[in-house]
Amino acid sequence: MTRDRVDLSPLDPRGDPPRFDRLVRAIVQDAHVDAQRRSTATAILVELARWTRPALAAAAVVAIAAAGTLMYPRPQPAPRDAGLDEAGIPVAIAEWARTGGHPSALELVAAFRAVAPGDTAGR
Amino acid sequence: MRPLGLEGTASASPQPEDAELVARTLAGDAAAFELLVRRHYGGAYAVALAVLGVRADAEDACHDGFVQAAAHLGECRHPGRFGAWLRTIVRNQARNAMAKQSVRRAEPLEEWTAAGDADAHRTVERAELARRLETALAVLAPTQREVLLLHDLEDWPHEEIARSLGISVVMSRQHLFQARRRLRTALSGVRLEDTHDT
Repeated sequence: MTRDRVDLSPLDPRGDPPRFDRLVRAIVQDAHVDAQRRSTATAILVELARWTRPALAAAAVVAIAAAGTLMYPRPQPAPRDAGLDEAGIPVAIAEWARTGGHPSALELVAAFRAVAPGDTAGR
Repeated sequence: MRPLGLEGTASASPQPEDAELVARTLAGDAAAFELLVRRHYGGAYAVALAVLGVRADAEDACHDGFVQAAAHLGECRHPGRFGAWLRTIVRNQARNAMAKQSVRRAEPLEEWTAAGDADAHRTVERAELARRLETALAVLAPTQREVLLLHDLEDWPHEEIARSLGISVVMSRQHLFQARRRLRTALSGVRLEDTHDT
C-alpha cells in the first residue's frame, strides 16, 4: 500500500514552516483576543448584576413614595357655579351664597366694586 | 509531516496528553493551546480540505474551527479526545463555509511574497503542484478525499480513519484504493467517465 502512496505534500501547509508558524500564531492570537472579549463581556454582565439589587431597592423606594402621594387626593378647588357667573354675580358673593356665609356691609360693597369699579367711580 | 501524536494511540514521546493540554489551556496557558494547535492541525486541515477542496479555504476553516474550539473548550466533555471533538467543529465550519459559497479561489498574496528570491522558483513550483492536486482532488467524493488525505497526507492508519469517519476498516481501504486510482487518472489528464463515490 505504501508504494502506491500519492505525494500530497504540496497541499500540506506544514511544508512551509515559516508560513505554518504564522498560521498557528494567528490562531493562538485570535483565540486569545476572543477570550479577552468574552471575558470583558462577562465582566460587564457581572457588574450589571452587582448593581441590580441596589437599583431594584431604589426603584422600590420611589414606587412607595409615589404610591403614598397618589393615595392622598389633593384638595380640589370648589366648582364654580356657571349659572351665577353668567348672571354677572361676583365670585365672592356666589361663594357666600353657596356656603351660607354672612358678609358684612363693607364686604358686600367691596365685592360689587370689584366687579364694576368704573360704575361707582363716576357717581 | 506526521502529526506529533495520533489520538487514541499509545505514544512513547514525553509530549503531554491532550487532556493535560486542555486543562492547562483552560487555566490560561497559551503555550498549551499552541501545542494542541500544532498537534491537531494536520487532521483538522485534512477534514476541511476534503470538504472544501481548496487549501486557502481549508486553512480558514481550520483557523475558525480552532478559535471556536478554544472559546468552547470548557464544553469538551472528553478532553482526552480533543482531536475528534475539534475535527467535528472544523467539519461543520467547512460545511457552513461551503453552504455560504464563500469559497475563495485566489491564492493568498502572502504565499507569493513571503518567500525570498532564492526560494521563489521552488515556491511557484510547489504552488503549481498544489493547484494540480486541488483540481484532481475535486473529482473525488468527499469521503474518498478525506480517507486519502488522512492516510496519504497525515499517515493515519486505516483503523484510526475508520473510527474517525464511522466506517469499517475494509471500507476505508476500499475508499483509499478508489481515491488513488481516480486521482492518478485525473492527474494524468484523462477525463473520468465515472465520478461517483464507490
